[in-house]
Amino acid sequence: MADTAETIVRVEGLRKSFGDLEVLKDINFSVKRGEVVTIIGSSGSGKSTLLRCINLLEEPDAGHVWFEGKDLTDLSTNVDKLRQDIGMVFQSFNLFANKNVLDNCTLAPVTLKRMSKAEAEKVAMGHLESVGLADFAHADVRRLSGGQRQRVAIARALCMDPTVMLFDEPTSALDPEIVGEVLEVMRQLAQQGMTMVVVTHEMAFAREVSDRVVFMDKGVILEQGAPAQVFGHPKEARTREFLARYLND
Amino acid sequence: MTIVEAGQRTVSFFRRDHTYVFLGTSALAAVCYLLTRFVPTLSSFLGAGAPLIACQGLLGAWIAFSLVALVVKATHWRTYDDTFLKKPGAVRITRCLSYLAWLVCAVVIVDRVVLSVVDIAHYVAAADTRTNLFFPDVLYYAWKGRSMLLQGLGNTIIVAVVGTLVAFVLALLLVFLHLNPPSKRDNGFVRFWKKLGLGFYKVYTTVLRGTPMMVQGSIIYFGFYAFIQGITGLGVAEMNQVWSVFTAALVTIALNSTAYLAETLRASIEAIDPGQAEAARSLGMTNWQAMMKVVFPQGVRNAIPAIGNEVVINIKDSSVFTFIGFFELMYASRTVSGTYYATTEVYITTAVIYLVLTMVATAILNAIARRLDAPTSNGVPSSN
Repeated sequence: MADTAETIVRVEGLRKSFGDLEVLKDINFSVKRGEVVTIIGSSGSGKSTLLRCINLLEEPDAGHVWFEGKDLTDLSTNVDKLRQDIGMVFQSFNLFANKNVLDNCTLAPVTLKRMSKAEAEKVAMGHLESVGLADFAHADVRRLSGGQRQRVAIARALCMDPTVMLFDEPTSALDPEIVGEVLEVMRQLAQQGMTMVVVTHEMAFAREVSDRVVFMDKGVILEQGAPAQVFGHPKEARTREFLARYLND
Repeated sequence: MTIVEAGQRTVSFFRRDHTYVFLGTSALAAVCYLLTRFVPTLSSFLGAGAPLIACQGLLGAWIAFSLVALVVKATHWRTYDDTFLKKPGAVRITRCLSYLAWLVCAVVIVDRVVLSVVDIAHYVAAADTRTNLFFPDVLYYAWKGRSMLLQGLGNTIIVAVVGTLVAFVLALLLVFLHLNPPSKRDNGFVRFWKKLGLGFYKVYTTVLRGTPMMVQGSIIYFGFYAFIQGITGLGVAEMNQVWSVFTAALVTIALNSTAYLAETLRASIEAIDPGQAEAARSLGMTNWQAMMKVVFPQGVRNAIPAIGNEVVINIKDSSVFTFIGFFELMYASRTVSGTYYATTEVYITTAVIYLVLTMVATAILNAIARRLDAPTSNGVPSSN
């Protein structure tokens, strides 16, 4: 996207420790409207923690997180309200087990009084159709395959009409054969101009779909840039080491 | 299951090969043979003539046949499958003969065992004095004391069921005190009340789970009695209208079970995958909304077998209220025992009544749990 696009998410000086383990060490990071940013790195590098700090599912120990200009880390900010505009898709889907597919999608819009049940259902059916699961609207979530559940999770997040979508390793728990159907939905979202931050191990997706790739290692952002540059001519030795292992399997 | 399916299942049962055809059936046949020799029945329909001898003969024949088969098996241990007994025709004949043996055993059991019990029951119902035989006396005292035992039984059931239901509602309310963790974003006022609520929850559950229900019942009954009487100065008869042992027992069971159910509910709710609440919050729902709409319903549903268990536990534990003079089943049986100067016989009847009560309650509650699509429990749970 053009440099004149506004910054939607900005992270400054972020630090997070779990007990003695320092997981994020002074992270500075931003995302512009319409950008698709992929965060890659090995396990334990802090990628998921960084993502979860963006919508404050993890409270950082130090630093600031701004979303559309509002400081989420400020104790007086109503984080729940801001979260309505940040969608998140989890590695383990986290569909509501006590509701069917349609109710999963309409629960938040109706509870937060954004619309009536009928309107919410119409919006939900629209999103379910775009992920190819309109026929499963009344199905019990336990009957769905992993790929179907993740697509429902994406539709559920889209029902709140978010400004940015966060994906926390969305395909890591899926069968290699089903990974494709979820990546396809994400690809379409990107093409429609959604701002996305994706933590993933799917290097092909990172290369083909993202505008920017961020490589994290041991709690710091080691390198970031356009996919062609990071994948083609990585500057850091550690980046080369990581990519070599991934791209030569 | 439809009638057709039931019929098909029955037919396939009778066509199957059963294990222990010889061992099991002949053991039963031996027992039944002994029954015909040593257990006389007044109203026997087999009598002492031809029918009886026919049954004994058939049983004896089956036992002899089994012995032959078992000898064959013992001597042909490794080649048993090749013997004549294992040929398909022989297997089928053996199976049919074993069903015949079962039938004869059933007839003998009805004639000797079932009719004996009926005889004793008839005699005992008309008798005026004890028989000095153990089993008939059990029935005698059960019959004599039946109205008292039924009254006690009724009180036990009411207090256990109503007490647990009230406790469930109170436990739902109490558990909220624990599920609202104070967070950085709360102001001082809210945080104070949250901490107070949490402290109350902890004290309540610790005290009520850490003391015996008997002691709690005594404190509640006598304590409130003195308190109310002190304020109002009512006489004994009027006090009983306002604050009876029944009320005290009900209140005690409710308060006691609230503590246990609250802890069970809390554990069940905390066992729900945290991802559920995270997903709800990531959509913008507040912690409260996430709890009420997603986590709580699942947690409560998973705790349903525990609530059923609590009813069964209270059925048994209501017996402790004998000691404040509550006329439940144990008190009733002590009264019957005192009236007729009989102990063991009466208490055996009481034990049987409790057992039937708990088994029926468990079956009903499991059926309800299955209807509500919740997990079911097996067996009878232990007490508080």
